[in-house]
Amino acid sequence: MRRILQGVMIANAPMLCWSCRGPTPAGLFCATCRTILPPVAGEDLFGLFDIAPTFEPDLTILEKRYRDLQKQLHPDFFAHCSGTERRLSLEWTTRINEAWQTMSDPVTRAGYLLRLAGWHAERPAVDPEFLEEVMELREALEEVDPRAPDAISRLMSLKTAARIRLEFEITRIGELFRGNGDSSLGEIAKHVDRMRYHRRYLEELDRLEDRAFDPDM
Amino acid sequence: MDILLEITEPGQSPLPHENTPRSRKRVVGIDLGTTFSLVAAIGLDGLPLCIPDENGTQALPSVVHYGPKGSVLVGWPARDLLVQHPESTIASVKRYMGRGVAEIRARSGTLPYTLEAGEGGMVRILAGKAKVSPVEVSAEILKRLKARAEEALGGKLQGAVITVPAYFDDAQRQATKDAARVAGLEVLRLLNEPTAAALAYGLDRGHEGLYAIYDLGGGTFDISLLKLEKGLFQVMATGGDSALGGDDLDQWIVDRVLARMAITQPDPGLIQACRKLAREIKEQLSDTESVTFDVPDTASNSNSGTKDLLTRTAFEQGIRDLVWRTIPICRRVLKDAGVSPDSLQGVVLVGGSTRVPLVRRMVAEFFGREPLVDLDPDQVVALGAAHQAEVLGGNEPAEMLLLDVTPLSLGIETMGDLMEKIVPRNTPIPTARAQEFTTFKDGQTAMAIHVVQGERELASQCRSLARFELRGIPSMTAGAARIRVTYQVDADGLLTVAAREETTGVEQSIAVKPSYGLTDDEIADMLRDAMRHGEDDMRARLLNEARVEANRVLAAAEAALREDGDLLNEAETQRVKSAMVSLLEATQGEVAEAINERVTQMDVQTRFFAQRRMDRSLQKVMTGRKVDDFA
Repeated sequence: MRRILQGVMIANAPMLCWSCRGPTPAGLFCATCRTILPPVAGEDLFGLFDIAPTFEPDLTILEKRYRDLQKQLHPDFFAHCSGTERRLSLEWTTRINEAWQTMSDPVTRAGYLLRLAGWHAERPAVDPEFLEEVMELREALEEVDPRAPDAISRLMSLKTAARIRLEFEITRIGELFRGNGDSSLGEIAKHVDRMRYHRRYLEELDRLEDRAFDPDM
Repeated sequence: MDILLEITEPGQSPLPHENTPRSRKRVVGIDLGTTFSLVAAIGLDGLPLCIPDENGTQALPSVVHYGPKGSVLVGWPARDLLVQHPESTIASVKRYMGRGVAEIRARSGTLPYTLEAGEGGMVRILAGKAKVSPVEVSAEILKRLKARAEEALGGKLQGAVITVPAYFDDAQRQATKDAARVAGLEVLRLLNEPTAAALAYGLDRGHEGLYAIYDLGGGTFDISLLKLEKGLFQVMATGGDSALGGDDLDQWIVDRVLARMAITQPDPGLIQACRKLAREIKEQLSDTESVTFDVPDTASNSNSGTKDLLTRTAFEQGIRDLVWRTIPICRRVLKDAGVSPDSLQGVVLVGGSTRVPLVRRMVAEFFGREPLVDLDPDQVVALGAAHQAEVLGGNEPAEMLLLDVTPLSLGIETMGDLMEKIVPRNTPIPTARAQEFTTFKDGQTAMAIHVVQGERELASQCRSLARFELRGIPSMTAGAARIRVTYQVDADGLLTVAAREETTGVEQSIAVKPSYGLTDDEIADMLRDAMRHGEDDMRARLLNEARVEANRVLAAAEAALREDGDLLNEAETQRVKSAMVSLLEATQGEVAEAINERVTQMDVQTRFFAQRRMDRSLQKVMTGRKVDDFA
C-alpha cells in the first residue's frame, strides 16, 4: 500500500516563471522575481501540504501547514496585484481549502487515498455481514419519535453507539493502510464504505436531534 | 465585499514615510445596526473609540423621519417623532434591506407605512410624502455618521468598514454596499459583526483559541465560532436567525401592555408609545427586580394615570421561549464545527439585548462558562470595525488574515422542487464544487439552472439567487447527457455558477447578482442626488419630480384631444382644457404638493374622457372580426 502511494508524489521539476521568464523550481513563488506561481497540475492534495500521503497524518502539522499556506497565498494579499496574480491566488486557495477539507476528515481522507492508489470501483460489492447490522440500525432509528419526551436521551445513546462503531472502523482502516491484515484495496474499500455508512447514520441522528430540540425546523 | 483600496503588505515595499501621521488615512468602522448605529476610529493613543455627536452621545438611533416639506431628520430627533408620526418615521430599516415586499410583510406584521414593490422587486416605503427604498433610508443614517466622523477627524473620509450580520445573504450585503455608495462612502470591506467583535477582543487583549461570539442585536441573532491565532482568524462555523432580536423581547412587553389596556387594534402612535415604554422597562429590569410604570393613554400620548407593574420573573417567563430559540442554533454551529462547548476558550457577548440577565444565564448554562463582558456589548462591533479599517486603509500592517466560510448552503433546484446542496454551509472559502446532472426527457436540448441558497429541503423555501438556461445540449436519450454544474465562491463570498455539457463542451456561466439589488442606473441617480443635494434639497427633488409628472400628464392629454377630440362636445372639451390650464399654472409655482394635487384633480375631471376613448378602441378592435375570434 505504502509503495503504491509513494509513486504518485510529484517531483519538484524546474519550470519557467510566467512573469519574469526565469527558471525556478515549482513552488509558491518564483525564486527570481518572487511572483506567485501557478499550482502544479496533478499534484496530489498531500503534496500540496508537503506531507506524505497517509491515512494517519499528524493533524497538528496539517493544520499548521494549512494556516501557513493561507498566510502566504490568500486573495486578501493580492488585492492590489495584477489579474493573473489574483487568479492564481484564488486557484491556490481553492485547492488548499479542498485539500484541507479532504484531509482533515477521516472519511474523505480514506476515499481520496483509495482513489490515489487507483481504486475506482463505483460501489463495493454487497457486504452481507454488514447488511444485517444496517437493518438493525435502521430499525432502531425508526423507533424514535422526535416529539416524544424521551427522544433526546434515546438519540444520545444511539449516537454514542454509532460513534463507537465509526471509531472502530477508523481504527481498523488505519491498521489496514499500515499493512496489517488483508490490506488489498478491495478490503479497505469495504471498510471505508462501512465508515461512510456510519457517518451518514450519525448525520441522520443529528437531524432528528435538531428536530427534537427545535420542533419548528 | 470588494477591496477597493490597495493594501500594503509587510515586506512588499512599504515606504517608511507612508506611515507618518501626515499620510495617515481617515478611515472609520461603522456598525450599521437595527436599533442604533455607531461610528468608531482609532484615537491618538492607538485605541479605537466611538465618535460622539455634538451632545456627547455615541449611539445614533437608526431612525429616519421624512417631514411633510421634504425635510429629513435622522437619529434622536427622528426617534422622538416615532410616537407622533409613525407613518413617516422609519425605524429598524435594517430588517428590510435586500428583502422583497412579501417577505417583509410576512416577517414584520403590521407596519405603520405602506410598502410598494419597485423595480427589480426592491421595496419602496411610502413614509408620509416621501417614497424611499431601504437603501436610501440606510444611506441617510450613514451620511449622518460620515458627517460626524469627518468633523471629528478633520477632513473627508477615505474609507469605511461597515459591519453586517454573518447571516446576511448576498442580497442583504449588496443592499448595504449600495447604501454606502449612496452616502458617498468608500467601502473598504463589509465585515461580519462577530468577526468585528472578536477583533475588538483579540487585538486588545491578545486572546488565542476557540471563541463563540453570541450576538443578540435589535433585530438579528448571530452565533459564530472563531478560531483565533496570532495573525489569523478562522471562522469555523456560523449560524443565526435574521428575524430574531431585542425588538422581539420589546414586543412581548408591548403585547402585555396592550392586553392590560384591553386594546386589540392599536393605532400606530400607540404602538410606538408602547415600544418606547417597553425598551425602558426592559433596560430597567436588567438592574432591578420589578418596574412600576405609567400605562399610556389611548386618546393622547400622555399617560392615563393608571400604573402597572412588571417583575423580572414575569418578564423572563414571557421571553423564555424567544431566548431559547437561540440555543438550538448554537448547538448546530458547535456541531457543524465538530466541537463541544468545553473546548471553547470563551464566549463573547455582543448586542444590547445580551444585557438581559436571562440571556446571560441561558448562554452561561449552555456553554458551561460565564461569558466575557469586558467591552461594552453595544460598542464592541464598531470598535472592531475601526481596527479593521485601520488595517485595510494601510495605516496598520495587515497582520490579521480572516479565513471565512459560506454562511448558508448553496444549491440547485432539482426535479420535484428539491434543493440539492452543492456547497454546504460552513465550507471554507474560496471554494469550487462541481456536480453532474443529466436530462430527464428524450431529446431534451436545454436545461434550466436555478441557483438557491438556504438550509430547507424544498427549493421553493430557499432564497432564489439566480436562474439561467444551458442551451445547445445535443439531442440524446434521457439520462445520456452529462451536465457538469460548478459553483465557485471567491474569498469575498461572491458566487459564480457554470454549467457545461461534457460531451460537446457547450458552456454557460453566470455571476450571481442578488435579485433585490438596485440597478446601476438607480445607484448613479442616487449618488448624483446625494452629492448634489444637501439636507433641504429633498424639496427641490420632489418639486422636480412633480413637474416631470405634470408635464407627462399634460402631454398625454394633448395627444388625446388631438386623436379623439371628436368624442367630446364643446362644453366637455372646455372642461378638459381648463383642467389642463390650471395644472399648467401650478407647474409654474414652487410647491410640489400643489402640483401633485392638480394632477390628481385633472385625473378625476378627465376620467369620463378616458373611459370613452377606451370604449372606442375596444370597438375598433372588434369591428370586422367574426364572433369566433373572441370565443
